Amino acid sequence: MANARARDVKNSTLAADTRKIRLLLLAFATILLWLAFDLIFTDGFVLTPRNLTTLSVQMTVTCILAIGMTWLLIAREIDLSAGAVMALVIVVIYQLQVVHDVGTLITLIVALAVGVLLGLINGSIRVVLMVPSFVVTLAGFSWIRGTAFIVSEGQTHAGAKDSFYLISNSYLPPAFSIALIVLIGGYFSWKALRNTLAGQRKLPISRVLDWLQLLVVVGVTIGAAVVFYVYRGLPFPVLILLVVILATNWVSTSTTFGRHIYALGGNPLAARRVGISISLMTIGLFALMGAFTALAGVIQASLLDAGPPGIGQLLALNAISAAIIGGTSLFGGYGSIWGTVVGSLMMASIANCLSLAGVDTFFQMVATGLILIITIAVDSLVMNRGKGA
Amino acid sequence: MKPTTLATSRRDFLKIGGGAVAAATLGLPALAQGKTGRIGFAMSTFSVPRFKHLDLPFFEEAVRAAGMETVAVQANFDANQQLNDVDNLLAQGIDALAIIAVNAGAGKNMVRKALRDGVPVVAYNNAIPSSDLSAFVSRDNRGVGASAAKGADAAVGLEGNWVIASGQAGDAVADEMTAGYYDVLKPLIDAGKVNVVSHEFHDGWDPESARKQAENALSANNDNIRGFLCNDDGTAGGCIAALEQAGLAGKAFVSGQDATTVACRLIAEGKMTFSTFTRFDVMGRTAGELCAKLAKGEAINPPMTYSSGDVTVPLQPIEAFHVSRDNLVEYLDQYSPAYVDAETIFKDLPADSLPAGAEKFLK
Repeated sequence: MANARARDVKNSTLAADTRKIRLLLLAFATILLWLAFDLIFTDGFVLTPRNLTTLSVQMTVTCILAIGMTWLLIAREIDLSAGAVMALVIVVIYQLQVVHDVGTLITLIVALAVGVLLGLINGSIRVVLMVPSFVVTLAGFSWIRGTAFIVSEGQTHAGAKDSFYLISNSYLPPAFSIALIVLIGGYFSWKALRNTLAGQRKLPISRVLDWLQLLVVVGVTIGAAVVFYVYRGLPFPVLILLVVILATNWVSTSTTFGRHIYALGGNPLAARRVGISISLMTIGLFALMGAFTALAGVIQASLLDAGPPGIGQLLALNAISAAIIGGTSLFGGYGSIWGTVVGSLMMASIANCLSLAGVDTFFQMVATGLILIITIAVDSLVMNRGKGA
Repeated sequence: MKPTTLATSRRDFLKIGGGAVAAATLGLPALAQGKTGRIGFAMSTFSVPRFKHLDLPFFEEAVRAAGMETVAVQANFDANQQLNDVDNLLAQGIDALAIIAVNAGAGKNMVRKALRDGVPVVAYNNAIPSSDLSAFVSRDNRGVGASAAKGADAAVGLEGNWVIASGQAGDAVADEMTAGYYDVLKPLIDAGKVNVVSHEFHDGWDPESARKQAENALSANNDNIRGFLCNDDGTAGGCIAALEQAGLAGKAFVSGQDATTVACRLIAEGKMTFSTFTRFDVMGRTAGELCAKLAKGEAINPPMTYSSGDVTVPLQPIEAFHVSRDNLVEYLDQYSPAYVDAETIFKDLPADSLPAGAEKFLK
């Protein structure tokens, strides 16, 4: 009896450790990428406070979408229409701001409402008409994009109000930035330290991982504090992204709703028997995705200061790639918010580094595809080795 | 004993390595900025032949001649990618920036960002409605339109029934060029000498759409159309296809723009009268020179102005001329094989119909 229990504990700990190793490897690969491009391929333009700040802003839109996508993927759903939804939200924003001279606050409320509404439509068709989410959102890829072109009459309006422009183009003052980062980073570092020094009996590999995790958390905190303090402060979009990450991570790991998402994806039948309402949860997850897309749309619209109806054609695929690189399973049940964040960071880093090195965007597309294949291949090999043993 | 020595040397190695990395990362950007000046060129695409073969090489050459280097990137027609490109170029410490705006409205914010870093901006080929521009380098589209109408007058005389096939509505080139036609035609229309029987804008500059317009115009006027003024070679080709079907190819006047390989062949066959070509190599060189001057802090003086939206920007116009049978060989001498393919143009044409001097391309 005792032996069986020990084995189960060992296996589940090993599984958790495997995921941790994967995440740490991904993080180190990203840092290695930065170093390689900084020292070899560019004249040291990657590891400057300015570029790292720019990079953090460049990853926000895709990362927010990828986070919403992660929850959908865990629950065995998918959203291919994310780019089209964002385009329609952005078009509506500029119609309001430029054509109808509406204030920023109302614009934001309407933008959010549009996103949630489209999410509810997608979710309802999925649940009520029982159309697979792949098909529903594939259709959305077309009809929502078409609607964006119709509403804007194909025109791009530009020049939002100053208050709207500030959303993506202002910074938290350096003093506040460093205080905030030290506060949040310090909290996570303290948690990681407690975990490392805990007196439980652990596998040796778990101990090593604990120390590595502590190293990464402390390193990122110090790095972020320095970078944002030296350049111009924490950019607002990154602050918004931080709030989204912390909120969704907390929901994922510490609330019933979060556990239900994993249950839904891991074993829908069992979830239903336990009393989880799959229909309500699915519609809710799509509505949440719509809200995240609206938020990403607001940030993108403010960054570009223009509303082209054709924007974000490949955005949904990029968000899905980021989630999968970060460890989310395409088949449901597995995924983590931090994993997705690191996946998004990796993808944004590839784009940023290649651009700084003067390499064509076409190579970026090849690189992203290769990274995706490599990470999934490694995942698959590790899983199959485990099964054989 | 041995393990201890190994351990120490590994630690030392790490210390030295770490120190080198730190010094390198902190020191390199400073070193780089001490180098020659850099001009950024944020292009919309590398795929369109003229940008790759004419605009970019001549831009780079002009910048090199001024003792600086060019950093060129392309956005694959994606406005957000171009925004990232501009951010990344600015992060590399460029001294001047030329932008081929994927989206005119989105270009405004990019110009604003560059100016905040003290980097002057030149709009290239595509207008950006921003009052912060130092210059807009492009052909004078309205002038080109007027010159095409005048060329029509010289070729066949401006009277009778005419058809105008414009490009995409809202595209600066189409709007301006069409306005140029009317600058010349309006007094003649008022005097009753000229009758524009059909005028349409074609989304995406679609040649098939232009073909339908020409077909309908011919049907509605009993084939009695004196000429077709077209905003580009694609729409001109569509009109010629309709004329072929009616058996009138070569009998009506047709003009286009860009002097592509296909258009040059139609000119050699006598089906197109002329096509306006803008010297993209001169455009590249001029923009490169302007950017180099701006980077050095010198003043520039664009001779004209251009209205983009509700903003007036200083315009540096680039020469455009008509490519017709008379100067086709001369044009090909300069621009084949870089931009057009002379062999394809003259292939399989009857020897007695070749313009003088064309034989050398058929070796």
